[in-house]
Amino acid sequence: MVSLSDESLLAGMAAGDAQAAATLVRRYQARVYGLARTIVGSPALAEDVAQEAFLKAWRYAGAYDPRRGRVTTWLLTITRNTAIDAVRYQRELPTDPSLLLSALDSQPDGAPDPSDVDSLDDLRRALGKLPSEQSLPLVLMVLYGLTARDIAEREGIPVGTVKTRVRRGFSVLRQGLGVSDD
Amino acid sequence: MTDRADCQEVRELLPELASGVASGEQRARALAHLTGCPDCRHELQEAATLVDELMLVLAPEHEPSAGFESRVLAALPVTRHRHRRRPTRRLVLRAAAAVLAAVLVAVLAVGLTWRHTADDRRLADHYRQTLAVADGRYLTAAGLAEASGQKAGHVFAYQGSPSWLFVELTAAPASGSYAIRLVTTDNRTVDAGVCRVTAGSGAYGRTIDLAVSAIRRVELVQPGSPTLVATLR
Repeated sequence: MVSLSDESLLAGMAAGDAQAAATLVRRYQARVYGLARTIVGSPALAEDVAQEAFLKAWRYAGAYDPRRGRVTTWLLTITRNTAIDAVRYQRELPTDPSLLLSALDSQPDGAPDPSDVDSLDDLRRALGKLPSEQSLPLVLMVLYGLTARDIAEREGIPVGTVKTRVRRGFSVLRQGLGVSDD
Repeated sequence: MTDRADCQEVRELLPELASGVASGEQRARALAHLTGCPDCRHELQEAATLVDELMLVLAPEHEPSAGFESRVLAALPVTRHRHRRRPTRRLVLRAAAAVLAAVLVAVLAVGLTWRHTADDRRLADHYRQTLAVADGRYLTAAGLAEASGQKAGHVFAYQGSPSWLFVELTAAPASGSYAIRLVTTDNRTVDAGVCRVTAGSGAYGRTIDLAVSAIRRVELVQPGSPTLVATLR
């Protein structure tokens, strides 16, 4: 039996097929839970977040539009937003973004698709090489959902400086991946 | 129309837009500009791809505790037959079924040709696109034959919302009316209509409430003539 594509699994879920949901959960639970845990820190809370993310995926499977991105991206965005909501009112970030950045070199490859391995490896290396004044606000924005203003307040620097640093970080990473910035 | 200031404003906001953290007002201003500016749209698309990949890089995989999968499944609000469109079975017009069968046969023929050219990726893409037309999950087909092995036709089954079944006879051993029975994986028998056969040929299609994966075999029965069987799994 050929394994079903992610898109087929979502279509099955949209039609109420619990077996499709089971397959999707099995396929992505480590990735979804890994992201939740990276953001919220606590393993118990991360499981709640991961569970909620899969429930949302079940609920909104019919609204998934393959033209707007891969299933992985869709699922991880749901997970990130659910995790951010779960820790929104905490004063301190539950995990330290600096540690996250310094751990980049020791991370195993978690690419969902073999064709992505090279580009993700390149990105990991490029991110590790960015000066922390650029990579830190970038991680705070992408992973923790902080706005430039949030980051400015947190780091005690002007909003304009944050925006410039994040933009520069984006630009360097894109160039590092061979994407023109023009 | 895209004046320089608008482009510049959007470019400055790209990271926040791509990360999904821009305020509603910022998003609205940006969207108004993006509608008329393909260059900025392209930039935003590139930035969004980068954000996706950053998430993949920054969050290592981690297995949840044992039993996570069953806890998620137990929490699903409804576990069966959600969004079924109709509680009762509905006949499909024979003409519509014939069109579906023609499309299906064409897809299978193209698929076989492509398989032999070893271009499986293109086949998979084509198959996915075909399924995506109506949010289908998969198509399957099986030969219909007598117990002796004599071939009589084919059964096609489509898992989707709704799922459907199409029976095509090209060399039936007798004319008349064949009762169609679905034998499920848990050995229940479900009547699924009647296929009329003239001079060995006939066709019949309908939607079904059963999941295709729950059908073990399809039987066509007519007293006094050999039973025809297609095994789906």
